[in-house]
Amino acid sequence: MKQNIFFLNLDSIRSDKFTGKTKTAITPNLDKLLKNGTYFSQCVSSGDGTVISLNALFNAQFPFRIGTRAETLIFKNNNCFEILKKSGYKIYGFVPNFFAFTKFLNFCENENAGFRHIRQRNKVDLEGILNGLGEKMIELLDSNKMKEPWFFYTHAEDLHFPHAVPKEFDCEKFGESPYERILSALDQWIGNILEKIDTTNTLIIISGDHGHLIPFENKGTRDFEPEFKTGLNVSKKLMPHSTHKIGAKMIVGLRNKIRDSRLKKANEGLTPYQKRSRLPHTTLSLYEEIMHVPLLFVGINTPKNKIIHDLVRSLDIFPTVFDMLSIDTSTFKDKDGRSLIPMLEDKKLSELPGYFHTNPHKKITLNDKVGIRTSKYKYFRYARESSEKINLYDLSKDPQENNNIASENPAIVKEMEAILEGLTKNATIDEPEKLTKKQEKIVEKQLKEMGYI
Amino acid sequence: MKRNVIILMIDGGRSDYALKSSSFNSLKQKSVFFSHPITYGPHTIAAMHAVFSGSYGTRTGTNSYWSTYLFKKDKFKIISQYLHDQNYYTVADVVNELVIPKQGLDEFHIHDEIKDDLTQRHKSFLEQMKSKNEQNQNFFLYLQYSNIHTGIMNEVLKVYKNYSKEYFEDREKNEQRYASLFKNAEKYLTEILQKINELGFPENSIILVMSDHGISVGEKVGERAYGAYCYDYTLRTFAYFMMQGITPIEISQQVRTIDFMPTILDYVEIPLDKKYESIDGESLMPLIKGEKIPEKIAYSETGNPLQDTRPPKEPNTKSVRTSRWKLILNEYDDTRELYDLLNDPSENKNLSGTGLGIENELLKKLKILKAGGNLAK
Repeated sequence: MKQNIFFLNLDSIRSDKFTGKTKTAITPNLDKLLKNGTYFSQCVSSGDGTVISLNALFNAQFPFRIGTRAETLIFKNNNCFEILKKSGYKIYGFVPNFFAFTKFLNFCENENAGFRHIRQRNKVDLEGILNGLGEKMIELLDSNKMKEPWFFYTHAEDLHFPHAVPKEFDCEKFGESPYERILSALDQWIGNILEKIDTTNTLIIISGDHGHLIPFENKGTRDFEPEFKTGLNVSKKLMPHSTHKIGAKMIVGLRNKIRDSRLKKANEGLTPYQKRSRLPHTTLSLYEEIMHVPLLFVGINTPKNKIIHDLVRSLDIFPTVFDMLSIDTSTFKDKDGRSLIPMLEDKKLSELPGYFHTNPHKKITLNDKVGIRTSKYKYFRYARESSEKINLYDLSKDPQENNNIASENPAIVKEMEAILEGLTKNATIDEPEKLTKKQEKIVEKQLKEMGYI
Repeated sequence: MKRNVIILMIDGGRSDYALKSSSFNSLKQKSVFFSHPITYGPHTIAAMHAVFSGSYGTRTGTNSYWSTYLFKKDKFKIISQYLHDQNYYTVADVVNELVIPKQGLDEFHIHDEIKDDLTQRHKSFLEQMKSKNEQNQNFFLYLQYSNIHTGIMNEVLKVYKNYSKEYFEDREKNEQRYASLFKNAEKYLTEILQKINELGFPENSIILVMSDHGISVGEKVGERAYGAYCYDYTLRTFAYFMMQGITPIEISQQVRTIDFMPTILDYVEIPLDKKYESIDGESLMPLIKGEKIPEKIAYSETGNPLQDTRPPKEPNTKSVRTSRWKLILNEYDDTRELYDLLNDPSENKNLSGTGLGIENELLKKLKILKAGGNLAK
């Protein structure tokens, strides 16, 4: 009998807040899981946004082979879910009811697999484990409707901005920041959910798509904005309607000026890491607080209480699962991810670099970056020009990436650029959805005959 | 033996013309008549790939005039494959190589829409099928009546441009042209059904008479035929299912043409193959049997060429429709149109942006469907 798989992907979870010295959340259930499983302390994601990261995870390929500017999930032929399905797995799960995820819903056996996800200018309403999703997960696990072997995937958004801390957890005891207090609250639910799972027959995986900024002293950019409420209301009443648009623009401009000046003053003396922690959560970033995610395997043949410090990538997750559960991978070819089983067995694997790319914002700016990571260095630069915005950090000495050592280490920059180029050199995004030239000629001829051209 | 399957597809058959046609109306007495099927694509290629696969082109890959070869045949099992796997002899006669997927067909014929006499040609196919039955083999026969298209091609597509004033200003001439072409379709249908009766197929077959999409007679400037917009005069089609053991009935509930394939499979008792992708359509057999099923949102899309002489390779205008409302998203100019179909069936009064809550509700659904999602999940 094949074992079940429970994969909890926590959107925005940071490795340094999951376990270790800088963690302040209270997480007895996660701690217990860590004792019962194997933790990869150096796992890097493939992108700083959900779609780019999940596309790499679900296809076990680097983003440049799937499409770094994709706005929705792309499931290429023989993606990880197809392999699971072919192997007899029934897929269940919960993901945001958001257009980017809709193709995932087609894999799910359960109804209502898309949970509430409203992100509009004036309204944000996200259903998380803490406010409804947890109950749904338990209900499904309790329902006896799931056919074995099952793969249960959940993409939980509780840790994503904006942060709504449950009242009972909103105190220092549960963490220094709202982010960590939410993690404490989540832990309780994770405990409740895991109680419903037969852990002797289920592989549990916990990881994340990317990290999150946690503002220094809990003060982010927005907290430095002046409130113009009274002024705005008075102006609205006094000024004619036709001037409201220009008036609003002026007020926003003034507000931003005051905010930036306050922020500049408050940031005096802070480290680059502390300063960038206060940037808006949408800021494109390939720093460790965004790219370094936890990876935990518990159950089946996973060694207990083991921490592996070698560099791994989140796109290694599924190849590892398939290897661990002896799932047929004969059609799972041409992948960049690899099985980490040798590491679990204390065998040395040669290090492979992590590759990452920033989330594809519609407007391309100099913040659009590409980079790689080895166990020692982080290197990234402007995605469209190798000589622009070069960053190099020695992670062994500077884990918070405060000192860009690129200018004084041209040889290392060259070496890292060579690795990056080597990875992407022969890479072309597979475009199976395009006609060949020959096909296009045939179609064109036929369309002409039918009068459409 | 199972039932044979015959599909007579009246290419470009308008729903409103069928409703006022005595030949079509006479079918109502011996069929289940669906008066509100909505097509996925207002042009044959996308429309019929969706019918054959029971799925939207957003998932199958065939979502435009250009994408026949992009059909994901390894992921979607089409009706001819299902029937072929059950030892049906499968034959199609169509106007062009691109219009349907070919998987599972024993014979794939292309007729010359200008030279061939489709009535005689199709009668001959029916006779050949009779011999299959006599050899104890079931058959699937798909016949496309393409002469409405032929007339439109010669008299409209080759004469006028997308925005030709002289076309849109002479509505009467356009209507007369279409009426004359439709009249020929009526004659064709009458003769073919007579042949079907003579051969005794009504007793041992399910016969579907349907259209793939409608055709403009100049309702909206910018669409001189079809495939440019998502308005009802091209999206609304008709379908008559003739089969043994059913009570003739008219079903005015909105259905989708992607529901036809699962309906036929349900009737001939062939289960869906779980090795392939799940389909978007659902069997209409409960409705046919007089039971109730909830109305489903219908999704449609096409590529508006605007001023270009070639249709675009990807859809750029998309719609969702209920029996009451339609929301159109024109991605080519980032505009929306919302119509109250009950009070404004000609879709003249755009209610988008007037604060109706239904607009956001439908927009959310449209976004899910255009990305290949499933509203049930």
